[in-house]
Amino acid sequence: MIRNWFRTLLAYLHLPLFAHTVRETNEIREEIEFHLTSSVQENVDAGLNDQKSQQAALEQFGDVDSVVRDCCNVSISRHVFWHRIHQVLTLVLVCAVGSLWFYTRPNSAENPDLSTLAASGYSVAETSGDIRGTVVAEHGKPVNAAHVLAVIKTWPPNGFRQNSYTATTRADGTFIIKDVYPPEQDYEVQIAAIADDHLLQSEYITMQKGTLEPFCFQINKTSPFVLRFESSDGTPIVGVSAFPFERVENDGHEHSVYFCSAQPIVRKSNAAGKISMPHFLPGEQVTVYVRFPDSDWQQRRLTVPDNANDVVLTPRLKNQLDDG
Amino acid sequence: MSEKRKADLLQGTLDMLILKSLIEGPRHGYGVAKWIQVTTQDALKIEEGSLYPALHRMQKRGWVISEWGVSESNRRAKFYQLTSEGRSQLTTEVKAWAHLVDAISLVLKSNLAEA
Repeated sequence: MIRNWFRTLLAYLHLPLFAHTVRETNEIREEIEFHLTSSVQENVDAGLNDQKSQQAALEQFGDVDSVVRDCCNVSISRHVFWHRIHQVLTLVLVCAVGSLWFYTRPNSAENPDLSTLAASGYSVAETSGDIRGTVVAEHGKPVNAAHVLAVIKTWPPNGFRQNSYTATTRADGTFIIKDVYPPEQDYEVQIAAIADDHLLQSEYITMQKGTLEPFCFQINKTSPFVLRFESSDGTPIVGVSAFPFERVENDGHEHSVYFCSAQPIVRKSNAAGKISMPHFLPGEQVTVYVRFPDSDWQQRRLTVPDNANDVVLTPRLKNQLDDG
Repeated sequence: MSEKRKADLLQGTLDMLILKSLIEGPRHGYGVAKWIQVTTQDALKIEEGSLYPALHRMQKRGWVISEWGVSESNRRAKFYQLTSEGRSQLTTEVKAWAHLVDAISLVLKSNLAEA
């Protein structure tokens, strides 16, 4: 059986279906012609004349065309089987090549023209989401000139983007940062509102798609809090940079400013080595970033004193982690 | 009437007769027909129109293979040769035929006894 299949496969590979049909028809006709000739010769040998011999041979054989057709159908059916297999394999090959091309083709979405990309890593057209909201104090009183610090995280193809944006509130306490996130894609937002003599407030929007609802920050008034920078011998240090990084409410709720968005709220110590940082409540655990002259940024964790005393910070000693 | 009876006898046995005709060696279609006719002393004369489709069908099944050659009259002819599958098939068909003949004989003998 397998040998027969192999034989018919070789025959098919040797001649495609159409050529095989023509050749098979010719061969069958030749085969039958030999049969009829032999039959005619036998009749002649038996004493019939040529005409009668031919007539008798044809009558004995029957309808030649019908026999040729029957033989051809039988023979071609073998070829048709392999032809079907051939077609299926060709189709599979075409599909495989097509799929390969489809999944490996240069993807314009993955390799867009860089000039059309927004900071989100998506096209400008896709990055159409605005961040808007209001910053108010007690009793809904609008806070003018509050800093709004936003960080947008996006995951464009083959990458991750984190971009910071800042805005200040208008007289009516509203703010808007336009075209910063892609509403149709995944994104996350960290946003903080901060103003002099007001509490630091922030929100974090975890992974989502769609349009952001307007933010509404209520930043209540707070008491004064001053950092004083001194050297180990008590000399005030001028030009120390600092900004509030994080505060933790008594209920554990954290509010923070991302480092990359903090530039607008960085302050420098004055001649007395002081920086006012009235953004916390007494008793809160807070973290501030400080940078002494000719030094790197470093975190300092503090506890805001209940009284109005300044908190003194000195350049970090070895193994010193916490202050206050 | 007589020819009709001959045709009826050949029903289902054509393959077996063709395979048997090739047991001694390759033959062309005309040779197969003549061998059957001569061997059966003109008792069986197969329909030549059925012979060639049967040969092609048997070739498709792998029972015979064909090859072009030169006939005794020095003409080009297609010769059919039995394969090992064809020999197995012949054995099978001969057994089945013998079994059928035995069965029919039993029936006929039974009818004669009852009569």
